[in-house]
Amino acid sequence: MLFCHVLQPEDEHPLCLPQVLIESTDVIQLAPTVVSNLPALPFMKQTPRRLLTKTLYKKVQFHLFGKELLFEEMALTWEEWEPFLRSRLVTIRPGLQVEAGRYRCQRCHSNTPEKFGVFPCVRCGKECTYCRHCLMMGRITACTPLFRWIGPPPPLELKVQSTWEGVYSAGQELAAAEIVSSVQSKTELLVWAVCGAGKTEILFPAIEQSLQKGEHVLIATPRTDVVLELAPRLSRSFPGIPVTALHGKSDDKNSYSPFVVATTHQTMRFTEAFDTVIVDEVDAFPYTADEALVQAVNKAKKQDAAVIYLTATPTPELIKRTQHKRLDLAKIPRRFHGHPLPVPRFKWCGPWRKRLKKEQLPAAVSKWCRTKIAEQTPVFLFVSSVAIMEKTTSILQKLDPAICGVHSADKERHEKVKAFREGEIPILITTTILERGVTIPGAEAAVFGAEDSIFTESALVQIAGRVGRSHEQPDGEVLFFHFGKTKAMAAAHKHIKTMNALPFLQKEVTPIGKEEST
Amino acid sequence: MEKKNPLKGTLGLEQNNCLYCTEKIKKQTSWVTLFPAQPPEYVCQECEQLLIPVSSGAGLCTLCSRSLPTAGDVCRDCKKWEEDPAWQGVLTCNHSLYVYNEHGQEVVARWKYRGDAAIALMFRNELFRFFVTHYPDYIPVPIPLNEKRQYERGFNQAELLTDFLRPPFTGLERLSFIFHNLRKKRPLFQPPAIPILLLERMYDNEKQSKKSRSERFMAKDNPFRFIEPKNGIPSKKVVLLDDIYTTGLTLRKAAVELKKNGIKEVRAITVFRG
Repeated sequence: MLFCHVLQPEDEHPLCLPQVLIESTDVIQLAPTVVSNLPALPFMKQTPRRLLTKTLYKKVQFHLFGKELLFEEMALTWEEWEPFLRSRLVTIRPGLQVEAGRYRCQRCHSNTPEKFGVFPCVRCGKECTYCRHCLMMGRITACTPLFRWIGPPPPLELKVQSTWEGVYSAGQELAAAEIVSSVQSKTELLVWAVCGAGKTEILFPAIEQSLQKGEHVLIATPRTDVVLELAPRLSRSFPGIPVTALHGKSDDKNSYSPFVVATTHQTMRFTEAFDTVIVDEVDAFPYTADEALVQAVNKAKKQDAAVIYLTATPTPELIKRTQHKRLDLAKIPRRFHGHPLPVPRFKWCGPWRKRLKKEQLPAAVSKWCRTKIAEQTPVFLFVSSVAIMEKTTSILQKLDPAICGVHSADKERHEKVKAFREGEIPILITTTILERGVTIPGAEAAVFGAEDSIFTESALVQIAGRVGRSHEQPDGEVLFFHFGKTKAMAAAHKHIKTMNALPFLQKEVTPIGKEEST
Repeated sequence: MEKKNPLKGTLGLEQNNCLYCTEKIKKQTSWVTLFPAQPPEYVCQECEQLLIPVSSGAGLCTLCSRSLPTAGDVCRDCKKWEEDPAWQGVLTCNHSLYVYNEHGQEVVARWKYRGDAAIALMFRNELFRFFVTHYPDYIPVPIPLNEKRQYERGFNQAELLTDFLRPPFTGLERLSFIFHNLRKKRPLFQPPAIPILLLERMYDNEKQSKKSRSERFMAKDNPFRFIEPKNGIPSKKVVLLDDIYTTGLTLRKAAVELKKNGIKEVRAITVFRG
């Protein structure tokens, strides 16, 4: 399929149309070619040209609004597309565009050569480049057009009312007010709230206001687990509105709702769709490691949109931006129940790798595990790699066969976490995959081999944040078993101490500039 | 269509990233590394090990590469094929490279159904090695797809495989053709540079699943048609290429059509043995 730029009769601006739809009255400006050879066109106002059937109009509007989709994803014929294209309700642009001699995928923003493949394409009859990075969402080749809705947004008559009736702590209340004002004025804000401060709840007033105005709200997070935990909570708090939850395995990928909770990967589906974007756990992998994801979230928001970053452990870059007054900061140094964060203790456990080779655990570790099993306290045991996780699990299973290990590629991961939550598993040995987003009341945590470089300051702070999250059991033990203290461990210790030392009922939302560096 | 063997080295060669897991390939240093003109590595060692070669078991069916408990045997299905006069000797033999296990299914799903054409490179080195040692004097011919399917997918996976077995070859590859032809005491032969398709596949109106088993296995019901190449056929020996050998029916139907049109010998190489 080849595309061209044409001028319709009585129209000043060119239009991108496929070759098959060209009529004799059209003036061809750029001859038929592979779509990625065509330059981008500016968006123009709609000019109603053809009659549209109402049902089809609605279908396309709901399906396509705020997204860019492939021909195959919409299952319409070119004849059905024609009226939309000619009246500029929908535009076509290339899926891969050449920028500075390199292809850039317009869906996932990849532009490094190793992300692309080349093959002899039957459709365009040439060697065709395609993006391998976002292949799972349908292949985009150099001859693939993306369809985009630029007409009016779908009308929605929904009564949005938050039914959440909890009470805010002093810190939460101030942060919530800050978020509301940021959403109203469409600015950026970093909310630095310790683990267990009640981050989700403070979003409710802002989300409510934004949705009531008929705006679109996105909550994006790098972790699927967080999506799975957030979506049901949000639908309970906002019963009047369907919450679309998007992650790799969700099946309602095409339903329309102005309120979306998605993994940062899934935000690739959207283009200039949201007025308010909330990025939860903004410092988590892979968001920080993958520039394409940052761009995907950027693409999903409208040009003037409010962006709220939430985290307990902001990256140095984010902190720097707040110090240079390029980003507002709201800080909640206390948990919602008002108790201080549990401070980690360090415990030297000798050359544990050697002991593992002999199928043994260091005495300190096995002794601690035994007491926790006796006390019936659920325990997270964090380790640095899958291999160590498997070894440790097999050794500890001699104490109690119910002990389990989990890692990111584990197919039963969610079942295991569920069983752990229900108290069926006394000790859950895990890689850093569970460092955030999981709340188990009364649980305690230990890191085995805390000197490994995978345990960064933020990872260790997050791990310590798994403990003492409920009103009933506001504290608990956090132990770092190590063979040599690292800077990250000391920094994590200091981080928690500093947070605890911040005065509880001071005006906790500090205006930028007056922020003490921690 | 203009064709320049595009898969050959455009991807993975300069980048040194694994085709499958996209991690950087760690080069293993050994004495061999000292020689220039190494075949490029497309897959990292971890991903390579996930593909299980058919020969890893005790024995193989000499006709279809199925794993068998004892070596040098012929499996039951192949005996049946060879007893049937309609199919007897139609396909001399099939060789598969890998076992079609769970991982194989994942690879094929990504390659064919998601359309990740570059996955074909994963099999390139092994395919070339096998072809040049056993069939240096054969013409590689892909099993065609019907037009509609080929348009949907954008490519024919068997054609991508055949592309690896056509010039331009590297010096080392040319040498191996010379060596193996000499070893077999044959005049020097190389597959032609222009793709020789020989077959086309008709669109099958009735779905395979709607037909009875006996209907499907009838030789008359053949979706393949022979196309005479313009410049003649340089060899009367053909090796068919396809991604998976499951029952062997498709390959045999293609072989029947070829034999009807003057091809003397038909063998097959498939990537996976289902």
